[in-house]
Amino acid sequence: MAHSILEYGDRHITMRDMELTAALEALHAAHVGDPAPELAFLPAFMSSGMLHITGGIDPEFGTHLSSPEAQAAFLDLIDRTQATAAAGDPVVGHLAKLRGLISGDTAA
Amino acid sequence: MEPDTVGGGGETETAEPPAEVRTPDGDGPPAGAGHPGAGSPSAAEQAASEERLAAEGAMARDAFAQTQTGAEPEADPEAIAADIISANTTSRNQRGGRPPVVTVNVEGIATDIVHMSRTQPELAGAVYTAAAGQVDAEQLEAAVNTQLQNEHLADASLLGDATPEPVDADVARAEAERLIEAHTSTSSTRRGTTRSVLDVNSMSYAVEQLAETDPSLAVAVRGELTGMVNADQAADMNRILSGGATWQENVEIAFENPVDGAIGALKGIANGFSAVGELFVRGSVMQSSAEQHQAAGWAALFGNDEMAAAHTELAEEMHDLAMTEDFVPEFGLDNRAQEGGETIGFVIDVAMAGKGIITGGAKVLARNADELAEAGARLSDEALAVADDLGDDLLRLGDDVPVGTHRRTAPDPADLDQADVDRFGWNHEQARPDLAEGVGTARADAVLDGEIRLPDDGDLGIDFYVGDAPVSLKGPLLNSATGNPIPINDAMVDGLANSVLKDMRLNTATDTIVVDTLGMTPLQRERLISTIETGMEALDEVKTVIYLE
Repeated sequence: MAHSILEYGDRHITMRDMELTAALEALHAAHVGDPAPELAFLPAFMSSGMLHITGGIDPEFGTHLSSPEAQAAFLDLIDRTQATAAAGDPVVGHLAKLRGLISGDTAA
Repeated sequence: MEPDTVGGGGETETAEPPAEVRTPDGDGPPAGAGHPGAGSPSAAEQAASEERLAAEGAMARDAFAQTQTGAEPEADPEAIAADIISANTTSRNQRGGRPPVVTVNVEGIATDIVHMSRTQPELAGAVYTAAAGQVDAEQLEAAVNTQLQNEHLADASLLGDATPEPVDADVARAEAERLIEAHTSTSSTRRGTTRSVLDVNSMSYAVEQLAETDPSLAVAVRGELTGMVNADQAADMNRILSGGATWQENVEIAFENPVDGAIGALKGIANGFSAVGELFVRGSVMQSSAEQHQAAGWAALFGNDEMAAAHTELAEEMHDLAMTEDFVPEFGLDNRAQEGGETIGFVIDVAMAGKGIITGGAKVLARNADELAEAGARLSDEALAVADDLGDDLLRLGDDVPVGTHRRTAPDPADLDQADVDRFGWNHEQARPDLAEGVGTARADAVLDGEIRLPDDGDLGIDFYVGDAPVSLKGPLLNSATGNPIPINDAMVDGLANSVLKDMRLNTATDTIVVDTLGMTPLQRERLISTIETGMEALDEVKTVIYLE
């Protein structure tokens, strides 16, 4: 069960690759349906080979969220994705981990 | 029988008097008791032989080979076959109370029987038949055939295009004795015994050198040597002389013959290992910063005098080649020392390219001769470390194993058991395997000593265990859903390197990282390793890293 370490600022979390991939794919689907200009990097990231780095997903992902606008847009995207997820879908929990990393709110 | 370590060529450890290799009839020490023509050993000789053999208890098979040369006619082939099989069988205990893994070295059995056949062909035939009934007969036949073919190929290789000529047997025997003596080193142990080591690799190279001036004598000397040395040594020598030398053995020869080694390194570069080759053949020898570093690396390896001699000799060879616009250098490698030198040059070249020294053009890293020499020595050490660690032995992990960096060649994905790939990559939540991590874990399984097991759900940060050792897996870069290769670019290589460094900084759950470089070009692989090693220099604590190639 390969793990990737995601860093954002001085915070980091560890997630299993398949969980992280599932979360990013859900976010990407929500973004395509209602794109936010601040997250224009997301489709390019998803189609790059970065998702295929076993144990190393997220190289530089956090740098795309360095502006407050991008950070806010990403958190909003997470919220929208969680809201439309099916009941009991484990991706909700994975998105919550991502949210905690970006927002700094570990209770999220 | 597995070949001995590079340059070792088989060791014997005995009590005084020193161990001696067997010698021809009537000459030298009595270790050849029973050799054809020697007749039955006297009582005193027999007693001396038994005393010596008793001291060689640890080397049971070698002792066996010697005693069998004096076996009684009524020797029991079944018992001898059983002894040989026993001497070539190992048993390895497993964890968890599972039955031990028993490994029968069929090649070793074949080596012993073929060796016996030179002095006791009838008995060897009977022993072969008996052994074939106890082990895989087809494997044994194939192994015996390989041994015999190696002898035939060795003679053909030594003879080359020359016409065989009669050779004085006494001359050949004397030369064989001289070679054994010249390539045997003796030292005392702390227990007061004497340890004699025959360097089969260098002795074989001497036979190859002899073949350049007198091929017929070389063939005859090879035959004499085959009868004088022990079974393993004979098998190794004939393998090497038949063209089966490993690159490690060639590198060893290159260091022992530095002029030819340096020539091989220069030829390798000139033949296109790097852009430096073009500059080199056009006369701009060692002028750019990169070339100076490379020269320093070689000089540290071979010595300045030897490098100068190599340049002189190579210049003469180059003089015969046309230096036209479309000139494509193509130097042939004349001997194993040059082949080993070519390998060394390649390793240095790749190591330097990975550090951006060559690919970066004239990047100046050294400002004076001292720094230049230091840089060269450092690169040489690294190149040698890389070369030294390209072994194929299984790696053991655990708290008692020091932190280190290793490189191993792992099986091609097509050769993996698909059931293992699915099992290692299985994800319960997604109810499907991640084939990329399945492939990476299965490849790691092939080079690690111990059983791999997957972690519990609560073991965050641990990708798998080897025994009790928790391990992180980084790479391979494959499509995780299909397991198919994907285009790999430098950004992905750098991303993988960063993930390894992140793991060292932030993941306290593991002490070892397996980095699977599957699908990378050699330059991408060296870029990855270089980036990781450079990053590690800035870390307070590092982990053992195992690169899978």
